Amino acid sequence: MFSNLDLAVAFIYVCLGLIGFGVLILLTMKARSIMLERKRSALLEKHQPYFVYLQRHIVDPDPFQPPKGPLSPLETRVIQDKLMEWIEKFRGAQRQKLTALCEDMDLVQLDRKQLSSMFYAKQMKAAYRLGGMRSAQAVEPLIELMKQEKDGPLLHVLARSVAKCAEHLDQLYVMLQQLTRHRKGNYLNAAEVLEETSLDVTPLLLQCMEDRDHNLVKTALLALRGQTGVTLTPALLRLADSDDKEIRSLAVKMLVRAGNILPEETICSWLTDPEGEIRAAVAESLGQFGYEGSIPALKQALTDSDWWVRYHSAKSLAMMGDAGFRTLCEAALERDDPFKSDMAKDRIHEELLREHFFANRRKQISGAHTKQSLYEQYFGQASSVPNIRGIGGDYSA
Amino acid sequence: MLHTAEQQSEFVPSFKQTVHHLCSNDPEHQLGIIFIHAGSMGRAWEGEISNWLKAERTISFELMIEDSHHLIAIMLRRAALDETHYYALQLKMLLEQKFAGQPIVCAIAAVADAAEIEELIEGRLAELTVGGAYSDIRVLHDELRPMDARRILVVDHDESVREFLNIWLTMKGYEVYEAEDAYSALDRIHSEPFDLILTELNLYGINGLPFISHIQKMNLNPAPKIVILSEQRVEQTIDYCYQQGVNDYITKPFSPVELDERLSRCF
Repeated sequence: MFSNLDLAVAFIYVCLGLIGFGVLILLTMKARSIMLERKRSALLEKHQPYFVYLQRHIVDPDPFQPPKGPLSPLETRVIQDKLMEWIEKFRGAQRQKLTALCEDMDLVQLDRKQLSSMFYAKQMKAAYRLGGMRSAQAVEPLIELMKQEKDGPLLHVLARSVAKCAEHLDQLYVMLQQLTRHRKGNYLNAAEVLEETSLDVTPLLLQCMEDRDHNLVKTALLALRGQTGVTLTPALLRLADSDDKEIRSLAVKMLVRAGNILPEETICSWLTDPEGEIRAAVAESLGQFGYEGSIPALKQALTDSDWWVRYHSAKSLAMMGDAGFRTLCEAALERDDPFKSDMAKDRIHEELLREHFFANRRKQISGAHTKQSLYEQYFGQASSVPNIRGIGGDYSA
Repeated sequence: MLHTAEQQSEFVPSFKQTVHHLCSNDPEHQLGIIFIHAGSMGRAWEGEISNWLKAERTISFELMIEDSHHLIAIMLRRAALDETHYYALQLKMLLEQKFAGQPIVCAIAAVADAAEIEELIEGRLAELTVGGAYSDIRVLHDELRPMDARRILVVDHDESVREFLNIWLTMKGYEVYEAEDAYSALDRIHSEPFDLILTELNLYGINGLPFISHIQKMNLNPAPKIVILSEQRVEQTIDYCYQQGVNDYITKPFSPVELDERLSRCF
């Protein structure tokens, strides 16, 4: 009994000791962090005249002079952080001038060495800082490390840094290959990473669209999403027949959104694609583009077995002015397919509520209630106040 | 070469003569000038400065001291304003190290002819000889603001952007005021007139779009021009801003030269 009590007391003392030790470590870390922050503030203040010099002469033709005299490692990092902050804020010659100063101060060289450190955290910080300085000198070691690295946070930081520093499209191509080789889903990230570069990536993306690697094709399609040039059409039409459903979906969406005049049979063929995701994407894109020639195909798509296809078809019809809304009303009254009429009713209800809401907000006159009057033509005056129970809807999803 | 003038009356003509002589000897290049307020330490500093500049070897210089007001004038041959600024930084650092605790106040300029320096220091010599409580390097060119300088209010949550715009736009002859968020900006706009409001859209408190709407509803006469300098690059937002009557929309990252051009187009 006694021995058990002694053991318990000893255990409590050990626990208290461990807690005390833990608290001490936390307090030490906190104190260190506060001290470091104070040191940084003092150094920022010390170098403020130098920072004013940099800002004051940022557009002058001569290169910046690096700060004279020996700098402590912390001092170097404080100046580097400030330079990186400005590099992100400026573009063109001013950015290049700041990058050149980083190179003159050997900051790029310093972080290049750190890239080969044994410590992961140091490599990560070095990769981040090299990207922040946007120096072309950093591209080669960054790519080399990418080749050795497995999929993980460091690979993504390295890719982002390569995108920031690259001065040739070839370097970006290698970066994309390395980034997408590990995991299928990395193409989403790859397309986003490409936004960091200051190069015109259109030629590279066009080259990627022809690539055998499906991940590169997807990256290119995602990165080109905002572009609507008809020059892309031949390549996109080819990709619309791809075996990969994601490529097909992205290509078809782009084709529709680009505003190409597409034959009805082409649209119909896409709306009968075996993948529901693609049919839904086509239906959605047709509404965003507002191509009235697709109304019959969209009406047909209201009978689709996939809820999302029906939903996007109805939504797109509602976006196509009077003709689209009339088609929705007709579909709501037809009794051949309950899913079709339910989805149409559901969308009509949404549209009337939306119109009602905006009319109240904008204090519009009653003449502006176009959809309301169209609705009354089909369903009569008595039904003019929509309510969800009266109209029904497609809740099969 | 070292000149000493016992009186300011002797110093000024002698200084101007030296500037004139140096400028006419080398008309292709600018002459950098650094004034340092030396307080009672004039003679002690003079030696240090002279030795340091001699050790530098990369620059040819002339040094003059105005004893009564403790002003040291250093003329650097073939030095543009940025180089002069850099040397002023080095000298300031040197003096701070050697004479700790003493605030070092410098003023710099770079001129191509004697007439220019006359314009810069006309009636300001006494002002240059007054030391401040804090170390500082003033650029004399920036302080020659016209009487009718345009007043710009910079509204941005980012301190470094505000700091840069303050330096840059002051340099371009504008009178610059800062606000961190829309609330403090609206307070300022209520109390004093501004010719232009340069604002970010991502602001604390009230966001940029309602902030613009608030300014427009204030019916100020004359209404300030509104220019957006924002990280937001969404096409719809830009279109919306123009529809709201914004004068210009500039996206970050930006070029200071382009910013200057587009601001001048607003007036």
